Amino acid sequence: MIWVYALTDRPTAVLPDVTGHDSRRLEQTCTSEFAGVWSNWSCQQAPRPTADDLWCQEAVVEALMTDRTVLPMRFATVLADADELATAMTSRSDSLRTALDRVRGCVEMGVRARFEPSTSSSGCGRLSGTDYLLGRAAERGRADAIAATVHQRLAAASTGADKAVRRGIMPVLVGAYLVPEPQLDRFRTTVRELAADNPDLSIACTGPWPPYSFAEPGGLEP
Amino acid sequence: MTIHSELEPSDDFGRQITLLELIDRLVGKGVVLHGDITLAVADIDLIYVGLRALISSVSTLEEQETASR
Repeated sequence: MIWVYALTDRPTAVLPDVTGHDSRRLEQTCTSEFAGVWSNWSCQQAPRPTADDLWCQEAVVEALMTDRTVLPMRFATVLADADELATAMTSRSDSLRTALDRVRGCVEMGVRARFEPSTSSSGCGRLSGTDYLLGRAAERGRADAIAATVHQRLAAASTGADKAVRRGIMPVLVGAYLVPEPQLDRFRTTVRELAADNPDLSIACTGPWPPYSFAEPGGLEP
Repeated sequence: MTIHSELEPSDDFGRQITLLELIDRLVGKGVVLHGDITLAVADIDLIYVGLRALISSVSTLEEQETASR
């Protein structure tokens, strides 16, 4: 069986000098348009989503994206053999071409924003139950409004955006943004400005990542 | 490794955020090809599932179903 890491738009390019899972050598299967990069994988062993294995996959994809456009595969994409990979690439050629065109020249940036108000309604000991709940509702409304503003500004600084808004103890905003590489500094500046403008918001920005969130249609905002 | 947290220092919290971001992407995003996988979570091996059944959300499946009609 083979473990597939990514599809690329350069079937003639030489593979980077990195190894895949279990230190296996990278191989690629090519069609006229695409290359699927993989390594052999022993089916006697179940894929384990350990930190080391996740970072191994990430290292392969990052090495590929230095000189070609990549569509990263979901972790543990295991196919029977190279023929099955070639068939999959051929049968999905239209959608793969569209996806590669969308992410070409871009990287993905991740933003996690958590609402941490300096004065929380839950911290007041003498509130009635009604007042407490009203305070929590107001806090939630404020968090939603801030999340919408943050996402709107980051989406404006990118060419594609994908977000999830969570409540409770989870981050208020988990966003992914597709950013043209020449505009990375501008995007980072926007994040810093948002952090400065919203002291009740804790923002963490990671990247550049391969375009995981934009490799498939669906969930993508214009 | 080029991945790093832009605004958090390179401490444990920053590394945890980065690992969380990595998991979100590798396990929940990326190109989905038809196929079968065997994932081991913790020490429970051989959780054998169809790839699409495991990692596609209900909404994504609904969208794909609508698009294929």
